[in-house]
Amino acid sequence: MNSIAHAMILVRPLVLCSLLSACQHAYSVEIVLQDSRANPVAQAQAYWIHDGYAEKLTPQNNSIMVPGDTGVLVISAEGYQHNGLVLGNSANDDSRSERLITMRRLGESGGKRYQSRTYPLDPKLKARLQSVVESKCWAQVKAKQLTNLAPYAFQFLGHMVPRELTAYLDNNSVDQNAAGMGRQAAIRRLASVDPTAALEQLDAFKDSMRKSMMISGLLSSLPASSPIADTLELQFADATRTIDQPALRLASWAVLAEYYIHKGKEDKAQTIIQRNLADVRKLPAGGWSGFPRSLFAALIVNDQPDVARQLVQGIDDNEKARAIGRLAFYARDPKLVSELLGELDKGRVIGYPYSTRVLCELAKGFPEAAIENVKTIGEAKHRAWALGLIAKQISSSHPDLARKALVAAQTEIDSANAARLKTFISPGEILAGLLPIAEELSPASVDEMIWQSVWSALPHTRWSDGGETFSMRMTGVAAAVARYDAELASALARAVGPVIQVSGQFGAKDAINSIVLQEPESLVAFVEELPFTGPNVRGVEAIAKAVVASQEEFWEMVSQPRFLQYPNGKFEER
Amino acid sequence: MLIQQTTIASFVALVFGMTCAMNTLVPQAVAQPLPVGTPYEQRIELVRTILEPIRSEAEEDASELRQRHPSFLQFYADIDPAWTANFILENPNPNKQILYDNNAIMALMKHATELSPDVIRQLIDAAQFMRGTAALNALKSLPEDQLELRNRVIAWGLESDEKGNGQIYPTMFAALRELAELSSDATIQQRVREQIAEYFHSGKYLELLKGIEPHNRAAYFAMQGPFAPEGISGLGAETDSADAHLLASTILRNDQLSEDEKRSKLAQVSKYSFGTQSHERLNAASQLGTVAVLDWKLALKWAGQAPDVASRIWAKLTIAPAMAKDDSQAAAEMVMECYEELSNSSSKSSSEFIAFSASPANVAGMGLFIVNAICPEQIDKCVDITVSLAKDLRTKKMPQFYYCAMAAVAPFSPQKARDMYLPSSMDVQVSNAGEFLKAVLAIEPESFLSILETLPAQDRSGNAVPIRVHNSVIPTLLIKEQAAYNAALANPNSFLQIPDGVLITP
Repeated sequence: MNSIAHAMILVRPLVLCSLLSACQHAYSVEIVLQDSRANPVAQAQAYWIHDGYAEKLTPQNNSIMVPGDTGVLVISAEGYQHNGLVLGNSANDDSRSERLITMRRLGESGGKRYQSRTYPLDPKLKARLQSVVESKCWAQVKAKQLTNLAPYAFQFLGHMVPRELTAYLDNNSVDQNAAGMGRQAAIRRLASVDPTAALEQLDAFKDSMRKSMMISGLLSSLPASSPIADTLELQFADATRTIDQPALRLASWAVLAEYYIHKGKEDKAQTIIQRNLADVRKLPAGGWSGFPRSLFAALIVNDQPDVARQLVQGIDDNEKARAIGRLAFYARDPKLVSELLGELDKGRVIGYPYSTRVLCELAKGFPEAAIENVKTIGEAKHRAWALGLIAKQISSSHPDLARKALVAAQTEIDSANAARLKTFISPGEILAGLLPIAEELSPASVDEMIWQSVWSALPHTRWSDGGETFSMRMTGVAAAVARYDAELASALARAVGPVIQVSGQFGAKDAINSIVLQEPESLVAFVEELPFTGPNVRGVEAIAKAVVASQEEFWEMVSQPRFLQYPNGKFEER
Repeated sequence: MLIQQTTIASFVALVFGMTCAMNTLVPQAVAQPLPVGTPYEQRIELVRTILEPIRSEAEEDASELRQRHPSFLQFYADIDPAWTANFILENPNPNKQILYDNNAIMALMKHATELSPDVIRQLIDAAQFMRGTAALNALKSLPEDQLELRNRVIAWGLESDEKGNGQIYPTMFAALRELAELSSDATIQQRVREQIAEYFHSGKYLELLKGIEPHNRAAYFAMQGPFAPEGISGLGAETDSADAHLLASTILRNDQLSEDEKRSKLAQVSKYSFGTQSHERLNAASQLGTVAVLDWKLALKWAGQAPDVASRIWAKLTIAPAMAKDDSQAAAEMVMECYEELSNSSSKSSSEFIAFSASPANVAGMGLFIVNAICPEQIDKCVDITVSLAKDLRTKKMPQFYYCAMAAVAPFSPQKARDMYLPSSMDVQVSNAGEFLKAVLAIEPESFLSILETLPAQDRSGNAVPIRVHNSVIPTLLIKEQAAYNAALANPNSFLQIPDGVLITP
């Protein structure tokens, strides 16, 4: 007792100060849970997101006492849809001390209906942002005669100021790789506005392999009716013929054949295949030559499946998933696709990004088989992502099946929340990335899905093995939610802390999140001060893309979770 | 595995140093007892609970225990010596080349009074080439009045192996000679002398030294040389500049030298080398605490030659307790200057230093134990500096150092440690789970077991997580001395050693 009294004397001034300061600002809020028939809902779990934390609260029967009046409360109860509440959202709220949340049973209708928002930047601000981005970056490079920027910085400049950059590269000693990437971006940009200038730039590439890859990239980004396409095809073949290294040469032929197939020029593709297949089969499977083997395997998988499978045997472990994934992506026989999927994402072969692309492709012709094969993906959250994307793929052709797939995705997210280890991306971000699909397929489910996303970005386990923080994960959810509920998005962003990183890197997704979650003025001010160096370039580049993006493109950038991509019909970008 | 063993060995050495420290050097009047953390008895129960599933698994199937849980027997020796000894003897290690059992046997020997003479004998046999050390460890725990058993233990320790080869290795010299000296049998003493001499004459010794890099050769010779007969040289191992390792083995821990002889030998060392790696520098800085006991002015001179800010500051902090004996005011002023300098250290000097060993926040954090001993009235100010130094570590990919810093703050300001803990406890990298759980023990020990239970079985690459965490946490939990335990929770590595006499257990 004495020691307690002694301790009290010591802590009293501190406690009094804390209490006094707390009393001036914070209020407790009692939340009462009931169902739609006004029956109490007990056995709920609740988290209060505030001041950068997610604090677990312990409900008493159907009542939750929140020891503060700002932040976001999110609730989960078995048999009910997820729900929640933004605290402190109204200055005139006279029910501050007690609020009621109605929990809907699973499948019960009556959720809030959302009107998706339009592009959040007004043209004036867009113009300011674009001008800041353009002037500061190029101005810095020119003023300081910078030659040691990261390759993607030159790539960015190639896109922003193509003519100026190519002249700059001609006159300054920039690393070959960095200059190549910058010039490639410039050529792509010029291809649509000044095709002749684009072709002239190709002459800067003396190395045949590099030149063929530049042409390949350029061809894949050209509009269908581009006047330079035929010339480029010829140049591609010429460059390929002169590549000394057999594996590189064969890879280049495969890329050209793939381009021909894509353009409907099957005969030209077949000529390339017949002329080179024997040489490809002689290449060793291991090392870099595994790559041309896997490219040719994909070209012949529907005509000579056995030979194709033979070609990908023995490819190095780190390339195996990509090789099998590519083969499955191009295969048309669902049985073969299913067999190949069984080899992916197994043990230490991480193949879920490829499985997802394959399943979306398979869903075009065989939706049931695609859904059935989702089980080949190891982690529940990635199964959810695949199911959601299949739902999107078949939303017009098989809407009922698509809705079922979406519900299955939500169930997988619940399983993912039970995992003991967080890895890279949270189930919440993945589910939030599926919100546009829910909006299209079943608008009534968007409300529940929003709250499930918030719930699934909570730290259900403290252990992680991916380097992300709670703040990053919840910010990702907040950004995706912003399209539907700006108030909740902004409350989440405030509750998890500053979104714009004041130190460290400013990455692409941070930039996009900032556009939707920050006050526009503060974002412009931030970008004005941001040094155009290192990883920041990615963020500046993302802003540059966002300000010229269409509505659809912009919201895709916002909703797409970090590290994952919405499928675009291609196996991979070149 | 090698790293783990080395770390554990270093850790044991550190703990041993701390344990020896309690009643020497620093006037206890100036030191404040640290608040009591989880008492040893409760910690033993925690370890018992943690290890119970493995013990039960071992009873079901003993065959793979050593491979699946390499440190289990060593840890469990302190929990239930009889069970552990029984297990080792009933389930002989199938692979004698892999020394799974020796750490466990050494730990068991500390409990010799709880084991029957026959079990002790069998365990000494099982220790193979470490039988001498095992016997010595048993002797340390056996009471002086058990004369007969002690004599039998000495004899068992000196026995040749079962084939009668009597093959010995340099690592055995010290134990064998000490055992021989303890034995009253002149024949045995003579035989041991001959065995050691034979090793040197056979040429094996020269072979061994040739295989050791020149930097370490001097230290090796310093350790083994005293056992050599006349005429054996150290292959050019002599040097007039010394690093921490050499200094310790030739002077500071050389029992053959008197205090004055040590001082005189120290004065002859022309240059003290801090090494190049950050862990070497920390070790060298820590060593100056021991030099300071003999000659703090010399130690201070060498501290001034430290190649970076943090190791210079740590060197000064470790010197301060010895300096305080002569001039407590000047020592306190020096300590506060160190914290002042730490608080102004630039991020550049911090990152130069960090390199996987510790951060300036850990130097400040471990320094709190020294501040508490020398100038306890300044502890709040130094806690604030530590908290401020740790601030960015959590988000700068070095959360392990952040966790150690908050464990350091915990005994002196539980509330500030808690404020540090809350925001860091939601996202913990499994690779840093050991440091995090040590911070939990310092700040919120009642949650330790429930948090431990939530650990995933494997990380992303399929590596077992609990074993790694056990290896990090359990040796700390098994430290008997309470103050040494508190400090070990805060220590990011075994190189940041608190000088002798600073840690006062209430």
